[in-house]
Amino acid sequence: MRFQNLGFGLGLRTTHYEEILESQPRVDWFEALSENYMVRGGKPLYYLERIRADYPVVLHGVSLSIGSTDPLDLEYLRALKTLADRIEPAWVSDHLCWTGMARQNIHDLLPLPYTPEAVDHVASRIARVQDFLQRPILIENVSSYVTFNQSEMTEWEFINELAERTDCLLLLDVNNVYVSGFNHGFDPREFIDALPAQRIQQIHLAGHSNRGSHIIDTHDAPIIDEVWKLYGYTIEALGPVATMIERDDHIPGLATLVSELDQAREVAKDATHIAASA
Amino acid sequence: MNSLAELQDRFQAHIVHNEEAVTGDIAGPDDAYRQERLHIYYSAYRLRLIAALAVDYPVLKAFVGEQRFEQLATAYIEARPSMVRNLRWFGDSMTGFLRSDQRFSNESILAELAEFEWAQGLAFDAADAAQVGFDELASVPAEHWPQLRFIAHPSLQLVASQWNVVALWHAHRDGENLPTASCQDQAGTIAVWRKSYKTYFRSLDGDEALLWRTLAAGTAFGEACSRLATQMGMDEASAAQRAAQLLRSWVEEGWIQGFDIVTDD
Repeated sequence: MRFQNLGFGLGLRTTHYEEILESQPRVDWFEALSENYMVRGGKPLYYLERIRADYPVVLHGVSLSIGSTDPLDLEYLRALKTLADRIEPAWVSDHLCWTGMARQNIHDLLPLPYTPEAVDHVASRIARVQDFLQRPILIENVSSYVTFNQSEMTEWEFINELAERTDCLLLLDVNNVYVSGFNHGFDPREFIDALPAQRIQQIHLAGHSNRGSHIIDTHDAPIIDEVWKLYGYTIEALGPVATMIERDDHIPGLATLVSELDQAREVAKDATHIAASA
Repeated sequence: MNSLAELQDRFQAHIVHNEEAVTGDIAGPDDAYRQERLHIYYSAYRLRLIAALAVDYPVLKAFVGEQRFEQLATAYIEARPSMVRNLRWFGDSMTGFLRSDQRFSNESILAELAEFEWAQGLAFDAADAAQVGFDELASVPAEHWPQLRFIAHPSLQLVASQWNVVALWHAHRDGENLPTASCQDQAGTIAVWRKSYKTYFRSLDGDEALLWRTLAAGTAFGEACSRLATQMGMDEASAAQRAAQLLRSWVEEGWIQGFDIVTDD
């Protein structure tokens, strides 16, 4: 069961707080990075609550570490739940990855092997997190740079299995599909075609850094044409889905991102027309 | 350990210690390819944490320069691997690290800069709390003033400093060349706090630091005034007058979250 489609959103970044409140930009919603607001007080929570008063907000985490073999971090989950109770986000998401083990945190989105063992492990943890938070969560596909010899299925088969078992929702990062497709030599359209369309609640778009032999998911540049095309392809297949742009480095002025978001609206509109006339 | 845990252990050992065992788990045409791909994770780990420390410690970075900051941050990452969920807290033990690590401990200004910058971060997102106004305090009958006990605003931090860290901070903020490091004979005290979502700091005089520490430890106002008089060699009346003046500035600056009146029973 999906939540409503929120339209076109942007990642909420500290440099834009004041401008958002003053100019009320034509952005339908904002995605806030959960950890930035898991603090005791001060400016971050003050601005988040003020912006939340004007816009729908979703929470997007980087530290859930759903794939780690360490025990689930209940302190983290409690803090996340407290934040969610306070902000009342439209939904909560994190990544299909692990971020460290033996209590150490690498602070990166590390890849999983696609094995039945990993499916069992991650599925049971997604179920426990959903129980704890008392809401379905969205799980996002990450960019990856290695394939494990242990893998017995494709990434999309792995995601399908998890979604089926846990009834979780999906955050489809179209840029990550493109990046991983380039890095591992698969057709990104095959990935997108294989996902359970009815579970895709949100789409991420972002820029990346092409190093020739591989692409790194840097979120520091405008979205490239190939990713726009893949986004159009995705919307043609799925119909309208809440879409947002992530920018984490070299963050430009708000107006630049609002105009990039307008481009997403255009691409989605064209794709919806194509789908309707097909 | 199950096979997933063993794989994660090998993968993490590569990222943290450059151990090679995980290479055999990676698909690819040859070892050069596998190592190149693994290196993306190895190097991203360091770059991300160094960048996080640069956000927490911009003046320290400017003071030691880009290259030495990278060495310093890399040494910190190795000595104090992250055990925290939130990257916000990764730099938490930098002051202690710089004080104790032999590569840096003989330059005490480094730890002082770190402590000063970290205090600003703590003030920035400390818990929200009321800030008592002067009217509230003025409504306390005069006979109860000796029994007043104050609660410090949670954002208020005191740091000791012998070096010119404030001057360095100002020069960095204004984009100027940093002044030469200079050291006083005695350590001064800097207060860092937040008011109306803005972070402030200023240096404290010796008697001010003494009185604030006494009050913040929960001592009643009358007793704190007596200690001020004794320790600063003042008469009781001058000490009380000075204390009232300091209290007024603290209230204006938002250092005080609340107060109560200590009763004898």
